[in-house]
Amino acid sequence: MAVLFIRTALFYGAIVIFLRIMGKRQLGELQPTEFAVTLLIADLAAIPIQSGSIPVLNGLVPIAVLLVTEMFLSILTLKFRKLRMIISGHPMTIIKQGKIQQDVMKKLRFNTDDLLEELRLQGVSDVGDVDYAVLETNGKMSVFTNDQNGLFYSVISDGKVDKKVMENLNLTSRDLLRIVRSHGYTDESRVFLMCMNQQHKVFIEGKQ
Amino acid sequence: MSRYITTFVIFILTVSLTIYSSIYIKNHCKALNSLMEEAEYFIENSMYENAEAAVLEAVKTTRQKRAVLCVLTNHDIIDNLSNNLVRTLSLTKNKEKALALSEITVTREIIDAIFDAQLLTVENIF
Repeated sequence: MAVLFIRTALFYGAIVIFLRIMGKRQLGELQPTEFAVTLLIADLAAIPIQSGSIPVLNGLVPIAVLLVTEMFLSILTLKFRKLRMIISGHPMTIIKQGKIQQDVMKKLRFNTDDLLEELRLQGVSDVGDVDYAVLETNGKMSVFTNDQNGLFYSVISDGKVDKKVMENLNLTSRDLLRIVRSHGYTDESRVFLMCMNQQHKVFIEGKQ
Repeated sequence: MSRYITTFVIFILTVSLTIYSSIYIKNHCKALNSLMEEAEYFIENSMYENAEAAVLEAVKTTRQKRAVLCVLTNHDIIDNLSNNLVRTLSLTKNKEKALALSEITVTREIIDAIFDAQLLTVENIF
């Protein structure tokens, strides 16, 4: 019994340390990869705790491998936007400029009850008040009402331009370069993040 | 940054530990297998004192390395191996040729299973 006591404490400590290394993001809203890691960690820890004949290392080594994989993947997704899209998916706009996107809802298998429930959870009782509703990659819905600035799209992320967003905002390459230069940056590659809404209101931050 | 360094250190430690444990177990299995081969040869030729010495050596080595082996692999397998070795030693001491030989065959099967479990094969992965 004393062995079980020590094993449990050991795994508790190890998991807390590993989750801390993975970062605060792990403890909040989970991305698909993070969710998978969390599920697996719980399972991997439970087996050696319950069975005294299985070495502690049989639980700790796979958990360490998961930690390393998760960190490696997070570095890659930080650098490569396309990989981020493949792994985490991308936010889906369910209500766009006050209009419900039924094709998107069908694609997401999101019914009207789900939509109304999510809106209620965000404190919105009338769908008509909603300008934009976006289902984020972590499964939460962001809601923007008519009185707000509307949805800001990420046009440039880590120096890379998103052509689809540009099309969506009716923005030409020339316009973009002009905006970037007006904020004191030589070109798009110098920009860390640039967001813009339908009214072409801009947020821009340069690379450090 | 420190988070990445810690992860890298954990990665290096994990890989080193995995390689070390695999080599350690494989080496022990190889040593045991050759001792069992020796013992088998001696028993077949009714040289029981030599066979006993070989099996005793195997028992002693396993007892010495037991703590490390139990940290690296399943305790049940190591317990099985230890029990079989002790049984083989007892049968060899009592000059029970047929039983000792069959016990050696079983022990070698266990050793091979431990060795094979360390190999990076499709069978082990899936």
